[in-house]
Amino acid sequence: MARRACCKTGIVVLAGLVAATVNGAPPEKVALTGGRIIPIVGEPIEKGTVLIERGKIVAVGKDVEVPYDARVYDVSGKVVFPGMIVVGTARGLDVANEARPVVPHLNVADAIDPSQLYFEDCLRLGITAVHVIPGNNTVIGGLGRVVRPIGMTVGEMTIAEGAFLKIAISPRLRSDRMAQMATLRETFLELDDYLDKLAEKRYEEDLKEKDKKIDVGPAEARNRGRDLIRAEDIDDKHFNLVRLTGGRVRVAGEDGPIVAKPLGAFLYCGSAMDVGHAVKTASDAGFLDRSVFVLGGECFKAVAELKKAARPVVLPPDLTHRETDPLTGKVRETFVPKRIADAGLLFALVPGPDASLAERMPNYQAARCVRAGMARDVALRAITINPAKILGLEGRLGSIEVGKDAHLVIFSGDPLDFTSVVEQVFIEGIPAYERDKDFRLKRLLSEHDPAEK
Amino acid sequence: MRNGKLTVGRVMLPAAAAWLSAATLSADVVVLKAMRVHTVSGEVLSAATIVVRDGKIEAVGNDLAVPEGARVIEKPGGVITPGLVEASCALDFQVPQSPPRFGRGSIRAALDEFLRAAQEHKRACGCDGVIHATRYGDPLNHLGADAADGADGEMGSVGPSASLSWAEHSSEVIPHLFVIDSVNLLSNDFDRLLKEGVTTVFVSPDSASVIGTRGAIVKTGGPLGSRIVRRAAAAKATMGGDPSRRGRRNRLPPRRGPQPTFHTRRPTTRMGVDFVFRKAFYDARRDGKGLALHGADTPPAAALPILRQVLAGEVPLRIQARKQHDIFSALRLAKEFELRFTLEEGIEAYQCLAQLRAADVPVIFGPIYVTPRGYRRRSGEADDPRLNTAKQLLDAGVRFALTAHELRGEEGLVRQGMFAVRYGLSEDEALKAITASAAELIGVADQVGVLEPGKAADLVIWSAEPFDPTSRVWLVMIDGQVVYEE
Repeated sequence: MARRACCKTGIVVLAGLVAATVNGAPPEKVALTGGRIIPIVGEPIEKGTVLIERGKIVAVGKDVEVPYDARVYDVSGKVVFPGMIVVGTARGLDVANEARPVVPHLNVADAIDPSQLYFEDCLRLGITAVHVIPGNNTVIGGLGRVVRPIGMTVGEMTIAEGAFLKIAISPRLRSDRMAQMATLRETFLELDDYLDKLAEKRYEEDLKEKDKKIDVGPAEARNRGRDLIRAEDIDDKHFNLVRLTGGRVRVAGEDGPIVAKPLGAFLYCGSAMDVGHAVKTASDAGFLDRSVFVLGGECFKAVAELKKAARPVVLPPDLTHRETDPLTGKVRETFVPKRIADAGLLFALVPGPDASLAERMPNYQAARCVRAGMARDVALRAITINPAKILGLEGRLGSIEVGKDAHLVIFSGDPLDFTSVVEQVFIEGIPAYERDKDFRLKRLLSEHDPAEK
Repeated sequence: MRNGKLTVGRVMLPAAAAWLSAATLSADVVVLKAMRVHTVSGEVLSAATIVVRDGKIEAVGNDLAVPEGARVIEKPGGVITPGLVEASCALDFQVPQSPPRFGRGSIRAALDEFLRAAQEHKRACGCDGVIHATRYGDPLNHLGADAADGADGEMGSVGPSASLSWAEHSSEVIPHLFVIDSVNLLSNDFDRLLKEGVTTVFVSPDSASVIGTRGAIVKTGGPLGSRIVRRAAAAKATMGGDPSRRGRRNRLPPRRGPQPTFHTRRPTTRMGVDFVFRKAFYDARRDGKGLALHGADTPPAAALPILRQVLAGEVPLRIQARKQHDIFSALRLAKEFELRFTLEEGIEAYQCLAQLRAADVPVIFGPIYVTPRGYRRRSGEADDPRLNTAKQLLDAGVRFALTAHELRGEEGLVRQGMFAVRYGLSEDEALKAITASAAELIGVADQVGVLEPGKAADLVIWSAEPFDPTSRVWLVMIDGQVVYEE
């Protein structure tokens, strides 16, 4: 009962915070003036102006002329920062994982729940883009999608259709590594088999249309049918696997036509030992150059292999790996981002658990990196432009540059200072969040609570 | 490294160890220089010097002469604060406190096994997203995360709150027991606290008994022989659901004596908890007058003298209460028996500010959170927190200290101070709440908590202001000895 009530409140609150602004068209022109702009790409600009037109940034700088018809927000004394990006999470889904192990045909679009409080929290924390992707308890888990935390439907929320399938190398619950790897290999062998048969079938169909009888054996039929396969011939389950392996039909060991856009993979490696398997699986099936490694705490030990693969990595939410030495009983701590950054890999930070007060803020995660000696701009890139690059959206998100979508966060001070709060959020120019109107936060601060004295 | 100089001989002979370390210390004069010094009791000094002699602070000031033969520790960019004082520490002892509860083959054993597996899975996969999904009804992940959570808090023997998995069950009234007898001074948890700048902790007993065991005050590092500051500190009582929810219901093992009866029952409601508390002090008073005790819930004979000491104000009392009505129960009972006490946890203290002020009850408040976790979440008493309770306590004139309780790392004690600053306290007030005020509320303000002459040389050198999220601990000194250095 209580839970249901809570969900309902969630919807009401979202409606209050967001709907009014989303349903109305975004203002034509918006100008944010007087703030300290941290554009991520380029040097900070003191007392600068960001000009937004139809949701895009059209000018950034000190001497930007504000058009007479722009809606002006004076953000003097505050900091203008790019909207932060969560590079991959199962939050926002009603259920993190489908119960069956191999489900490449599933799409998170069917399960994103716009009324979840998670999205409201995102606004509060200055997160403006979330790559929602199935959880780790899977083998091949389905297609992700990049959404913004505003909108009442998945369509309204969508920033970009999914470009990644979730694949877990670490075993799912009540499974083991041998079974996990066998299932993965089997999946790709079955795909080969399916395409072989499909080529044969297509050749037969083609002959039928021409009123001819089968004139060759199966092997030759496959060769002749290879180029006849069209995108619509491939069933849902295999279609995304074809896209994963490059979008090209491959029959009897030879390449056929390209039928769809290629997909990448978020490869979840819980332990260091999984990294090698991940690299092998991805390179055997031909998607290593579109892979992103999602790392568990211990994976820094496989940094040499990761470096060799030279693919982007998503760091674990617990940035510090703690390990008890089985012999001495002493605890050894390793700060993972430092190891990964030192290896020169492209990496993204993700927020900590929802129940944490500080770690769930991406900017706090960056502050922890600075604490461990990482350069400030390297840490800030890991929550903005790096996730955008990993998701292939660096042309639209991740920095304050002319031509990009206007995803902006107004901090009261420096993002690495814990006393700084998110005061306002703009998503594609839409004023999506205002701290003054956040009444759930006000309740937590004992303000405007009619139930209290 | 802490305990770096420790030899086996010293472990075997703690008394000798104390003597040895005292002997080696006597010639020791250390001078510390840093960019800034927060004395807490006085002003914040810039470019200041601290002179430490024989483990005590001799002088703090701007232009102090360096005594001859002194060892100088110079940290030009550093910021010195007193060592932090954790006023209510749920310590991970890292040794089993009790044998497994049930025999092999029982349902419970199978459940425990499952919980362990779930914990293992959680560890292995990181479970990003899974925890959140639990609330929205994924049956598989619900099991995974919730069970793992269970293993963390109460059932298993792993994780940072493992110390909460034990509870003393011999009676509901046990102030004659000492938590120090359970404290493993070599626990890694002390190392962790030390590295996070905490130098003195009040080890807070479990909350399974209405009037529980007596806490202990312990230093987190230094020579083994001088770690224990006070063996028997405040007695801890608990209001609310914990005493009725936790524990083994006073069941005796099969064929070991008579079955529990009406007269040996545990409280099963808040009414029962209040009654056991009231009966204990009522009996203590009767016993003091030489009258016979009778009826249900008579406290053990050994508890009676301690209870009388509590009544006389000789043994301090602290009461754990989370919800508003439990805090009111504590205030009511204290008034009834003219007891002075310190409130622990006080999640809903913001609802009782005027009453706490009127009764002059100090609060050891914390941790600060939005979403309760672990055993706190399962208590059902933690769903309505406020982020700025510390500020509200300050404004209402209630004395308070901040605690992280079982939390470490990014939610550890210094971070609790950082949270309090975000939600309203000034940096000075927040620092006071985790040093001087905490020391005062646990009764060791004469020894630690501030940097002034005569106090123990317990201090931390930070790389920047302690509440800056980018600052880290460079050095920790306890009783004049460097016990941790980055």
